[in-house]
Amino acid sequence: MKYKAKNYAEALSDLMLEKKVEDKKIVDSFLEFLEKNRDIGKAKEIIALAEALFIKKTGRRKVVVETARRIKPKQKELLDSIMQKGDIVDEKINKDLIAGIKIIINNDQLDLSMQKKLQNIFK
Amino acid sequence: MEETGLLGQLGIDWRLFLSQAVNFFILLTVLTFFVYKPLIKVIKDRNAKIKEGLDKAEEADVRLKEIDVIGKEKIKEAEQESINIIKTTEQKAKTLEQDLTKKAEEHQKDLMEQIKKNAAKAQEEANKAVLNKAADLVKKAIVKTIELEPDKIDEALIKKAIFHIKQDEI
Repeated sequence: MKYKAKNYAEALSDLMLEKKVEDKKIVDSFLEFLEKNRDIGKAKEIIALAEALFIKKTGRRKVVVETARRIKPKQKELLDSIMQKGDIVDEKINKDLIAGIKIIINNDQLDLSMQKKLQNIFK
Repeated sequence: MEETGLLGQLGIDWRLFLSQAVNFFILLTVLTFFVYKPLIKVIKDRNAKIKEGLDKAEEADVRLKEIDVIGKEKIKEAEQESINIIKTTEQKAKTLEQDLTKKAEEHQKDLMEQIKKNAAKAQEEANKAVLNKAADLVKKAIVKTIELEPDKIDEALIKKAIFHIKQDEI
């Protein structure tokens, strides 16, 4: 590893903060750079670290929304009512949830899925 | 020459008589030393041997009687000892039998308890399996029910989640 993962992450988060070019371009160039340095294997770890740093530096929230199926427009509208400007939203489909929703904001989690409810019932 | 005196009158020649007396004395002496005394010695030795034999026989008889008495005593002691051994053995056998019976009873009791425990455990496991199966069935039924109209449930749970978030519960 030419540089430490933390250093790569710092650089990536700074680039994203500067916003001189599009995010896609930043990411593509960064991946190329990693490949050149033969550190592409650590890309996942570096991106996760960069994301955490970016969130910390900008004071934004990372919101992960997990549902059992694709969110319907009406449900999306409901969810938008709790989103703040600048939130980094990651939508995931997890069929194990059966129904309902699981929302993770930064490190806090609210699990209102049917999977959780059934777990509680048959505990 | 004619002999005079009494001996002469008796027709005994005193010289012949003297020579015969001397011969007799010599013969007596020889017989005394070479026949009589050895013979007496042999007789005495024989008598002593016979006496010794008799004494020994008598002593042997006494000893035999003593041995007989001792033998009888020993037989009596041996009989007594045998009786004691038999009594002790009987007692030991009785104790051993009691111990074995007690152990067998305890073993049987333990076995019964083990069987009861195993049966209870098997029953418990069976109940658990039935409960798990029932829970799985209920879960499947719930899932199937939800799958009929998932949007309504999703919406309701999303509304609830939003309510909690707005209440600053997250």
